[in-house]
Parts: sequence; C-alpha cells; structure tokens
Amino acid sequence: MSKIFAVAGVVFMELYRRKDFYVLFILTALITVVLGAVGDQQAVGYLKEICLLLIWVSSLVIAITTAARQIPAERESRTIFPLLAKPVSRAQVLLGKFAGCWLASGVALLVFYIFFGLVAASREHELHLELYAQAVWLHWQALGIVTALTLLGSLVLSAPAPNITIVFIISVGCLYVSRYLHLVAARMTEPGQTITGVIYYTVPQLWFFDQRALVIHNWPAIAWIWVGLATVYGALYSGFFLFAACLIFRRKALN
Amino acid sequence: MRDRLLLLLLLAACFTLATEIEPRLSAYARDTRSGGDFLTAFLGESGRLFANHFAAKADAYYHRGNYPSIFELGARPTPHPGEEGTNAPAELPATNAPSTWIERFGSHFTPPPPKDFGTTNDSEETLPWYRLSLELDPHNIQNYCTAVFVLRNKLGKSAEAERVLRDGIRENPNSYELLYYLGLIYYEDRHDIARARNVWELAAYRWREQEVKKPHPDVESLWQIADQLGNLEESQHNYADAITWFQIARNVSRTPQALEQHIDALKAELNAKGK
Amino acid sequence: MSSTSVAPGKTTNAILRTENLRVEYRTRELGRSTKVALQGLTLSVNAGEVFGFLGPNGAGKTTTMNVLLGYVNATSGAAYLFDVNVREPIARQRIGYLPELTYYYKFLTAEELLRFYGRLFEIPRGEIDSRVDRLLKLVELEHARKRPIRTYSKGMQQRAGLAQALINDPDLLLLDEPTSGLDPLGRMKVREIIQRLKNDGKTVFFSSHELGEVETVCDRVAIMNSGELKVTGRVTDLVAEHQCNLEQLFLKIVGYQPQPV
Repeated sequence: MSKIFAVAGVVFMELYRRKDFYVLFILTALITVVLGAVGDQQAVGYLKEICLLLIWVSSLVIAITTAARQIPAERESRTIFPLLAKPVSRAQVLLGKFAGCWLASGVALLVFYIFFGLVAASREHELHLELYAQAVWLHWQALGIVTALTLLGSLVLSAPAPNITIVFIISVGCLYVSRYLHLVAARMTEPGQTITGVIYYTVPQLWFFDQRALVIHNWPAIAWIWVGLATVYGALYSGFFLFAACLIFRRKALN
Repeated sequence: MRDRLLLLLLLAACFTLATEIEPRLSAYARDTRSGGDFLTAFLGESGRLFANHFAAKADAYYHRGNYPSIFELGARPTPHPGEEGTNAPAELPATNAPSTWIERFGSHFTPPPPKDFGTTNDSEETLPWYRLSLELDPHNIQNYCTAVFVLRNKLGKSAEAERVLRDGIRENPNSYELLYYLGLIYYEDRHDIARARNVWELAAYRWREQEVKKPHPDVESLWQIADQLGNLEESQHNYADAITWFQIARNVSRTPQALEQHIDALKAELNAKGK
Repeated sequence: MSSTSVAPGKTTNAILRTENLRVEYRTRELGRSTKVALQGLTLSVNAGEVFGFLGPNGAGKTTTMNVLLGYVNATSGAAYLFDVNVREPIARQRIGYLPELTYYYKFLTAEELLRFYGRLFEIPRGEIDSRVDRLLKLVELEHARKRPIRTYSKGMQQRAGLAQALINDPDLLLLDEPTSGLDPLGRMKVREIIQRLKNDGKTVFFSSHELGEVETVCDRVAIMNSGELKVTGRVTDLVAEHQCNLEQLFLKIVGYQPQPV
C-alpha cells in the first residue's frame, strides 16, 4: 500500500503545481461573486444552482484531464521506465495514479464546497452541514467512477484528447440521460429497445451522486444507509474499471 | 494531389449547401425581435431553447425542485392546467411507481413532491429564471403571464408585475393576454377604472383581429376579457354596457346558464332604473 | 506460460542469469509477421564483477535490458535477478537502473525524486533522509536539491539519475550507455563511480559503445550481434585468444570490412 500512496503523492504534487485547479477555482469564484452582486438579492437558489453547476463542471474537468494524461504522459516523457525499474508492479502504479487523481479531486472539491458554503450561508444565514456533507461525499464518489473510467480510457486510446472527449460525453450522459433510458427503450422497436435497455442497466448511474437539488432546495437529508449503498455501488464500478485497466496495462507495450 | 481535389470537392459542396440553406434561414430568422443585447446576439435562435429550459427551471423551483424531466412528462398523461382563469404553474400529475431497481434505488435520494409548494419563498426563487427566460425569448406570452401571476398573486409585487407586462407589450404589441393582465392591475390594484376599461377594450379588439378567423379561436381569453369588462361596467352602474359584455362572455363560456341568470338580473336592474 | 519465481533447484553465484531468452516482436513489414530481437540468449553475470554488454545498434542490447527490467516479457526462456524471475517486481528490489537519457518528473525537485523512489523501495523514512543527503553530496547536487528538475542542465539531470539509481544501495547496477553525451570529465567521474562500486563489492552490468572504456573497467564482456550472443569472456582472455584488441575483435564479430583508402 505504501508504494501505491507513494505514486499517489506524486500525482497530488503534480496537480497542485499545475495551474488548472487555481484557474478553475478563481473562475468559479468570480462568476459566483459577480452573479451574487448583480442578481436578485432575495433568490438564493439561483445563485446556489449556478455555483454548483460550475463546481460540477470544474470538478469533472479536473478529474478527467488529470486522469487522462497520467499514463500517456508517463509513456511520452518516458518517466515510466525508471518508475517500473523499481520493485513496483504495473497494477500498483495504476492504483497509485487512481488514488492520486481521486484524492486530489477530493481536495479540490472540498475547497470548492467550502467556498460554496460560505456564499450560501451569507445569503441564507444558516448552514445545512449534513446536506453539504452528503452532497460532497456523493460527488466525490462520482469523481472516483469517472477517474477510473478515464484511466481505463487512457490505456485503450493512445491520445488524451479523444479520451477526455469520450469520457466527458459519457459522464454527462450518465448524469442527465441514463436514468431515463428505460423510458426511451419502452418506445423503441427491436433491436434498439434491447440495446438501450442493456445500456440502461450497465452504465453507471451517476445521477445517484448528483445531489445538487438536495442542497439547493434544502430537502430533508438522505438516510445514511442509502448513502452507504451508493458508495458501495460507486466502489463496484470504480473497481471494475480499474480491474479492466490493470489487465490492459499488464500487456501494454511501454513505448 | 488527391488531397487537394478532395478539398476542392468539399469546398464546392459547402458552397452549394450554403446557397441552398441561406434563403430559408433568412426567411425563418425574419422576426420583429428587438434583441440587441449580448445574450440574444450570442445565442441567436437557440435562445428560445434556453428560454424554454429556464422557464421549466422556474417551474421546478416553484415546485421546490421536484419536477419531472421531458422523458417522464412524455410517459405521463398531459398535466392539468392550473387554477382556472389564472396562469398559475401547472399542477403536476402523480408520479408513476418506480418500475426498475435503479428507479427504486434512486427514489431514496429524492423526497416525495411537496404538497405545500408555491410558497412565498418558492415564488421568489422562480424570478431570476423567469427573468432570464423572458430576456432570451421575449415573444413567449405564456412565460410573461406566469411570471406576472407569481409576482402579483404570490408575492404581491404589483408594480414589478406591471413593469414586466409593459416590457412584454413593447415586444408583443398585439398580445391580448398581456393587455388583459395589465387591465387587471389597473382595475384591482390601482383602481383606475378608465385605464382598465381602455386596456381591456383594446385587448378585446386585438382578440377580434387575431382570433376570429381561426378555426379554433382562443375563447377562454375572450371570456376572461368580456367577463372582466362586464364586471367593470356593472361596478360603474353602466348596466347596458355590462349586459353587452356579459352576453359576449356567455356565448363563449363553459357555464352559460350562470351568466344568463346574471344578465337577466342586470336587465331587471336596468329596467328598474329606467322606470 | 507459467514461470517459477525462483530458479528451480540450485542457487548459483550468478546474480544475473538468462536462459535461452528469446524475444519476438510483431512487425508490420511486408512478408514478415514477427521480428526476432533476441535468439536464445544464455548469459550469466557473477557477483562483484563489472560486466560490459556490447553490440552494434539493433544487436539486442536494449531488448535484453528491457527483459531484465520487466518492461518486456520474453517470448520464451527466462531471466533471473538474484534467482528471482524478472517478471516478479521483487526481483528489482536490489537493483539500480540508470537509463541512457534522463527520464524523470520535471516538476519534482531532486530531493523529492529521491524520496519518492526511496518509498518505492520501502526504505524507512529516517534512512531515506540520510541517504538522500549522502547521495546528493556524492553527485554534487546539494546546491540544487530544492529546484525542480526542469531547471537542471543535462549534466545535472544525469547526476540526479545516478543518485536515484543508488538510492536503494543496490547490489546490482544496470547502466544503459552511462557515459553517453558526457564530456571527458563527466566520463571520468562515471568511471570512478563504477570503480568505487566494484571496490564495494557491487556488481555492475552496463551496455556501451565506448570500447576503450569497457576495456579499462570491465572484468568480462559479452558481444551481441543480430540478436545472438557472439562471444563472452574475460577481456584479457578474449584479447589473448583473438590476438587483437577489443575494438578489432568487436569489428570482426560484427562483420565489418574496412574499405581500402
């Protein structure tokens, strides 16, 4: 495990030495502050919605772009060679990359949500800590699935750009469309109905983890048992993608 | 050489397509929208799509976030209209029971729809979205009407409702619906009888201009306008004019018998006055 | 194909051993589906010796290194480091590898790089600290330890590479063209370090084109050509046997015919 965390630490350091996170955070903060200053002072939901949308977009950008370039950058810069010359297996390297990307995304997420909490509390004059905790936790689990999928994609596709595009499309689809695929399938004829049905049951339902409405409308908190089960669901998908990635990476040429 | 020929062929195809599409697009885009602001210029025609989205968002906020998607709406019966004679956001039909384990699991993350939606707080939250929607599509009359309902009936902001209506009428000078609501503000909130009468008569005139020729005219709106004019004239003891308007309303009403009785009562009043 | 982690039966003095190693690559050339990079390489390197691995370009030296380091799986045959099959990551616990070109994380400082690699060897934290200090002093990078590697010159990057190859105090050092691109002073320093390692009882296995250097420092050499091991033995014995210096022997093996002037 220490080897995995050693690799994760390097990923972490790389993210925080690049400018991406700071640019996205500043952009999110700026847009939120400007909207809050010029918009309706009575309406809080509007501001929370815009801010949370920006947070989701930024977090997906950070998670996907960071994960997408890990293995390709190692191969391109050839740093993979001295790395694998150490007593560390390819699976450990991959798991370390995943852990690093996921943890780094989690820290970025915390910073974003702390900012969001301050903005919302300044308008609402109250802080719904339990709701925020659930929203952050589930959001982080979603990023885990997306990170694992991106790492798998980086081993299947040679360049980061198509990988990033495809994973973005899949993520947005799984967030907004996947929950309704069974309704769409019901109106289709074969073989489209079966194909859509299969997709419905196999893709990760990321909308479980999208709890923006919970925070915006101050809904009652979700029972923690369901949060736990959603975590297990996310872990299963992440595990599956990582397992597939390990299998591919084992056989992949390094140059 | 082959690449250059391919490029030339592509250029020719693009040029041909452009000459085909351009006249149709010009005809389609020919509208009276003033749209000189940045958002409208930036989004162009797709602004309408966003406008509809933001109007749906406003509706979602009115219902405190619990709102069906287009997929679910497509799978359910048509929603019922809101309170009669108003443009309240529609009541949502009951949700279907979850049919898959994914829906059942997901249902634990969403609370059941609130029964007490549409509170002051809910209404306040809809305003920024309606504002955006109207900014992007100033020709959507229904959105103006719903926004005015929220402002006036739910939040008691009559002055702001009037401002919205004036903006709407500026963009849609022929809209009898907006004129009707403006008349309501003058009559019920400002108690300005003369102005209310003028505006409603103009609304009735606009309705005749636009709806009479249609195979299925908007009789609901005519009933509203005529009924209100009738009430106005009755309150001013102009029974003859009131009877005229109520007769128009009776002809298009869903409950003509009730109006007929009221007309008879007014006729009796008129006769008594005459004597 | 199953492979045992530890060589069956005996433990020998050979800390690096290949047995009938064969490596084939798929190729897109017309008429050929595979390219044979190594043909039945059987080689052993004993503890404490400095072993030179020679051959022209395309002889199979890099492929052999890649197999030993676990980058590439052999098509058939086996390779062992300290009697552990090279397919096991643990086989690399006691080796240090210095690549020809410097491939290190440019955003890390030399100190961070050494700490990172030290953690991969599961060296205790206190021990890592003292080794990092010692190695940075050895390679004369103490003044630049806090600067990111992307600000280093080529020579400094190579010295950082040498430090990372020594972080685990390896018993076997694999060097790929260690003096490539170095000035005479740099080459001298590398030679001194190799000699020092040898005096400390370490084993050094390096590939090189610098035959003069190989003749000076190596105990034994192997000469490859076209994926085959052509000759192996002590430098002095080979020179005596073939009645020529190492360079002439090398040219004879690779089939070089001098053109008349």
